[in-house]
Amino acid sequence: MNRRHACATLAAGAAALATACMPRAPLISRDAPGASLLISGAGAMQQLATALADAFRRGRRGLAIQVERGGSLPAYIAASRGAIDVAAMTRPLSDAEDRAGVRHHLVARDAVGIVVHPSLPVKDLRRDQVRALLSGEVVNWRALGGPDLAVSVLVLPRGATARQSAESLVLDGDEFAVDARECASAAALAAAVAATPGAIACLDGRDRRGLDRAGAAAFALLAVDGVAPTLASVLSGRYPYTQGFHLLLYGAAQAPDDSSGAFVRYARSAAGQAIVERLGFVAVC
Amino acid sequence: MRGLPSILPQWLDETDVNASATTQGHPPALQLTGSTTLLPRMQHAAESYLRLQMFSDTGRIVINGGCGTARGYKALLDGTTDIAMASGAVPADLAAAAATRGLAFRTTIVSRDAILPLVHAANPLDSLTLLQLRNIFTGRIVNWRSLGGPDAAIEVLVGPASGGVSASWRKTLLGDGDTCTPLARVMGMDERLARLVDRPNAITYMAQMALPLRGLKVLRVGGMAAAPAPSAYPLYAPMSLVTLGMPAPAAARFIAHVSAHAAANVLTEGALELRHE
Repeated sequence: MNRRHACATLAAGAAALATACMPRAPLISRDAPGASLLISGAGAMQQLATALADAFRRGRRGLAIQVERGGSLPAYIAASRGAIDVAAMTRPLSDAEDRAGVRHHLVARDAVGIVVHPSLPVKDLRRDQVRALLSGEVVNWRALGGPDLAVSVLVLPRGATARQSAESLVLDGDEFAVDARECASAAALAAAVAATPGAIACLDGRDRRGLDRAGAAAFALLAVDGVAPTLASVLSGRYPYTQGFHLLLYGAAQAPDDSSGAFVRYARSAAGQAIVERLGFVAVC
Repeated sequence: MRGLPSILPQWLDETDVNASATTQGHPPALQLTGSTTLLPRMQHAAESYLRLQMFSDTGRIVINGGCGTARGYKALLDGTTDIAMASGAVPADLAAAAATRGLAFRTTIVSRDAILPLVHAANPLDSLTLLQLRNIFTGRIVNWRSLGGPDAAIEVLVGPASGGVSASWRKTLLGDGDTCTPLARVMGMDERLARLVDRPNAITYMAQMALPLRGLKVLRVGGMAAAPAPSAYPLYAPMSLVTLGMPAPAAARFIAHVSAHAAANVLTEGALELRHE
């Protein structure tokens, strides 16, 4: 119970705390025989971490894996204190965080796309322009050399991980325009962009890939700072809204039978990278 | 490999990254991290390398954001990167850390990056001799007046000695016998450049490849600019790609690609990438 308790106290915010304290099956007892693995991290990585854990668990009888959602920083702190085994982080480490004993493995990438109506003549924006549009600072496309057309910002619901990724990557932590129109799902958002000539929205790679052919053809994807989100520019990191997904291990390299090290090796293997691609992310290992 | 030749041109340049890309059956990717200075060049090299693979499938190159030379070496030792991007020579403590594991860093110099002395745009001087520069950074000259400038104290801004560019600046300017003035302010490159914009009497240095700011001026060294005579210009950092132990075949192929690319571009990339807007 000690590790569970430590993890809960480290989780940021009352909501996260409440979630972490809720009993869930299978509960991990650190005293029980058999290996266990506790993974915690950014909400945007939960789906990927869970899928990797499910596949990793197959063929390893007796291994209990728990995947929790807390946030990159709480997970980093929890890993550094030994409260969890693997931290799942959606950002690179700062210089201070990259301490001796920290191993930060990139396992996947994604690109937050800036989508607009296909008829819009604007095809390329600078980062500050994208930010000004999405935050509601610029309300007419004319201000950026476009047509005299009201800007209509479309967003996913508050709490959607894709919206949070966009807020941190594209808006530097700020919020979308107060009058942004909420769409219930990525498909609804894509449809709304297609129906609104002045629309602009963020749609990450997973969501774009999840759309059917008609949905994907209904919007245009902008280049940012002159760089379009292609495979080449996302692998090279030149596309400005490239997001990295990392698994972090803390502590000196452990024994070969150590399950956290084996889990990260699995995530980086061909089998793990196939899961990365199946979920719509970009394979990087 | 299914359908590879037909989809490649699309996913390289036209199609949305997540729409059709697949690594099924591809060899493992190579990851690079390290020097911020080398980052833009390696990003372009990675993209040109990917384009070559329309005909031979040798694997993806993934560039991680520049985190500095020291962290690039750490990532090699940690096993979290395949290749480190490095500026300057291998620091002795890191070489020792590798040696304790029975391994050595293998370094391939892929370019030479000139390091430019940088002052405020309002500074009346345009050129300093190597000796004058050395005297400024050791603290033997402390006032611009003795160099023909205004009667004002010189504010020396330097980067931490562990930084690749800073280590090379000290090595090529001060040599082994001299040390930097203790009065120098030590700060990261971005902070130094930002401070210099507001400080007419300050001086610092910058790697030629790094992105510049407005309101700054590059000084010639002994009347020489870095651009037209890159091989004679005296202040530089060797830029290299580093592996821990012998590079694996895939890493060796990419390093060879970068070296060939660099050699081909030596004559055409001489121009300063400064933008005075």
